[in-house]
Amino acid sequence: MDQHILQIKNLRVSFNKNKQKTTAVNDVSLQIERGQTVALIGESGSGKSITSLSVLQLLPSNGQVEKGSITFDGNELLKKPEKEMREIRGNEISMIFQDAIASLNPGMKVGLQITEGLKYHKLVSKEELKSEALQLLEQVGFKNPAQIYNQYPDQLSGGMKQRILIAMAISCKPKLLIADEPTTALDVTIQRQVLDLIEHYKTDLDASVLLITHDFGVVAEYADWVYVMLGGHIVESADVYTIFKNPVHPYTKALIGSIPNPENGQERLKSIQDYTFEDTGYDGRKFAPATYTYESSSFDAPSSLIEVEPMHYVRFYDDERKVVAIG
Amino acid sequence: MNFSLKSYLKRLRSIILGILIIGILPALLFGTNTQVEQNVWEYSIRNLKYPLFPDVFEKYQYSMTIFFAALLSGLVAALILTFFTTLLPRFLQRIVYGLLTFLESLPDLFIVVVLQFTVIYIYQSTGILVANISNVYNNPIYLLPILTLAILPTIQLFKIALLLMKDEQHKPYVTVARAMGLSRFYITIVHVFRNILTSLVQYYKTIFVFMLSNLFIVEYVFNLNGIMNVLLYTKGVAFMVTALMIAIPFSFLFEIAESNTIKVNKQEEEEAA
Amino acid sequence: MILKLFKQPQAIIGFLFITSLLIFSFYWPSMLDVDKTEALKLQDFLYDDDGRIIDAPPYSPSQVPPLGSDMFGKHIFYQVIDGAKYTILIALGIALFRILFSVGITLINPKSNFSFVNDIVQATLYLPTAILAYIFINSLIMKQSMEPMSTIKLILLQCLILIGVGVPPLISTFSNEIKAILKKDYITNTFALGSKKVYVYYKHVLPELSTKLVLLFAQQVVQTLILMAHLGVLAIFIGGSAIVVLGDIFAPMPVAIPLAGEWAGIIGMNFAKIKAAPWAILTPLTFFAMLIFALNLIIQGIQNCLETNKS
Repeated sequence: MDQHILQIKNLRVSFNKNKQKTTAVNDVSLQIERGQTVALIGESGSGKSITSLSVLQLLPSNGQVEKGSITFDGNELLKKPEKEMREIRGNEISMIFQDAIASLNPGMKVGLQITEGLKYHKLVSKEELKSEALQLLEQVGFKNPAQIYNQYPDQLSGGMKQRILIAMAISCKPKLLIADEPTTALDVTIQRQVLDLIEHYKTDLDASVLLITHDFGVVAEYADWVYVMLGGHIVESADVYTIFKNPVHPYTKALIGSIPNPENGQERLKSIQDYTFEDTGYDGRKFAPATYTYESSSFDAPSSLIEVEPMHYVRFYDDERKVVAIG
Repeated sequence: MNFSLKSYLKRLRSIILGILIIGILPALLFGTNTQVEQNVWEYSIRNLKYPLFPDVFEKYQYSMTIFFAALLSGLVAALILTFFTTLLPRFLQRIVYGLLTFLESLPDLFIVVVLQFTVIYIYQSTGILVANISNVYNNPIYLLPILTLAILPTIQLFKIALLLMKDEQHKPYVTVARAMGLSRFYITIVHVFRNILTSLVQYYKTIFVFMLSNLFIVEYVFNLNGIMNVLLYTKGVAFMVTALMIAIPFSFLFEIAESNTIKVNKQEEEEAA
Repeated sequence: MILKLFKQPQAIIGFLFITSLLIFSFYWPSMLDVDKTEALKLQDFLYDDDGRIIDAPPYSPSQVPPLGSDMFGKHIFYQVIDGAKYTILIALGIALFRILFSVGITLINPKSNFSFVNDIVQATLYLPTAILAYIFINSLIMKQSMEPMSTIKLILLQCLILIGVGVPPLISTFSNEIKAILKKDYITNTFALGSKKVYVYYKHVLPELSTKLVLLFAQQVVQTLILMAHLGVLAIFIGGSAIVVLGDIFAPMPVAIPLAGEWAGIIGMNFAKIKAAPWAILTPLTFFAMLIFALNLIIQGIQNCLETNKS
């Protein structure tokens, strides 16, 4: 059995709008081991959500995967027809979306929405469905599942809706759970509750989690391995200790630097100056320290990610691996 | 259900006052007509006098049957058509939409006349009478007026439903449902259609007012004994009474629909806040 | 706004159709090289080459190309072309005055709720506009039959009625619109900075209203056209009518003949003979449909403009 449950290799996704092609994700490689929580961290628009949507092949109609491979449990997903993909979605890989408020159909009782996936994938009887739904609601921490079952999404708070979404996502006991910024839309007080729920599910069923976030605090607590994304590329990847102990890429450094630390008595929080990254496109060499600059001719690594220490990869180069020079 | 009698009574007062003003205004502007003095409870069509009561109830019932049958069949037809359109490829959908914009421009009179001629033409060339085109003795006709009255609302509802559909299909909950492995077909039927139906209710006012105007033309051209024809030929008090007969139940429907949609909007606002 | 409208192909098509129809309607005798009086004259009978009577009106499109004749033997096609200018200009004029009157009334007293206008609006929701206009114009005609008035005065009064029936709903639309604009933050801001009321209306409210006005104007033209068609069926013509008795002595059939040549009149005049000469009604109706379609294209263009403005 493959040690990795999900393996993405050299993924490139682009969008067509008004006959113009925009590459949203480029040369992204990522792997998730069984039982691990892998965090994908980056600012909004860096391509995190697109990466996760392409795993499920739910890209918007004007988007397409141009290159690369996505293997789940040893099977290539990109070549699967829609019908087989449907069997995988929700059943083996499922996803928790960030906008909990809009992610539930306002015109349908939540109880029914939770069981839709079950009804489709597991073909259980009606009575079983209801008891299953109640059980799921209890599992995600509702004290009065029977009452919640008959309510419409409008009657619930944001945190409750997010828990409903989690109940929905775990209803078919998937092996991989993709959580796309599950706490962004929530109050700080509820964030922990939601993340703990995901963590519990993971340990109980020995599932894997791909946690998409922009919060290093969340990463530190829950993730085993971290990928940092910027402008459609993965710029640094390492296990969570290494990242915090020895961040190499300036963007990672900046991200970690902006975590408030009460001990060192900072007066102001550090912020990342947006304009540094606003240029025409991300170009890795801007950040490359002098020790990692090569001539393109002598550069021969399989990926543009360089292993700076064992199991710690950083990217300094753009796709063409052009000459890198630092002033 | 949410309904307040107080606001309905306020609306009713407004309507009664308005009808009173409209009823009196012609006489006020152009002087009362002394020549054709007639009983208050009579109306005349082509110099023949008819009593208003009790015939008007029968006519009223007839008109309302046609109206609501047309509304219902229009709604059903629009939804079915919308469903089949969403199965079409995108460029065909665009063509359908363009076609609807064109059909929407056809005046109601045009449709009434064309339909009438179509029936006559079919009868003349094949001898099959698809439907009676005007009242035969005292047997009121139903099929053709309902069909005619239903066409334009169908087109309008179809167009609105298509637009709503386009909006609805890009909402996050559809992606969620797809991420759960549900098929597009299932999502369209169970999720999207349910929501479109509730959104369509918002357009009730436009559709109703538009259809009342159409009903008049249908009744006039097919020469039906309906309430609109009575309304056309009555004057003064009889006119006001007839107008109220139409206004009171319809305003009741409007009030119910309005107080419920306002409630929904408020909920959304609270959420946004 | 106008400039942007020129980037909407559909709006241009609609606009071109209407203008070319207008131009054609004014200059068709010279463009088609026919004599106007000859083309529009009454033709009692059709003769064959030997001078024998072969048919009496109405003539079908095959007998009298291109589109047949009405029951007086007048060419429908030429009538419709000639009537286009009256139809379009009357509709434009009525719509324009509806907008002008309602904006004027609203601006005179923008804060008021117009409670009696509101009453009328509430009531007119349930009454077809055609019936409303019919009631008024009918009493006008009754009055005219008792104390005759000049044609000009009659036309003016009729137009005033057609304008009047459209004004109350527009007033309520405008006063709601203005109230919504006045509620906007930047207006509060201008008032807070000490602007005069007149200044705010002139500088902020009217410009913001203007695009909406163009849209409403186009919609009003469509509504006026439909109203005219309906009134035509009810044998009410702008410019009044003369009653002519047709048919034989045993079955006299009074027919109202419109004095102005607009389309609604052609429809109304031929409505009684609908089964004998369908082309006489379908032709003007088709032109109505095309005109309204052209207007709808323009409306769609305006709406597209408004949407791109927003985003």
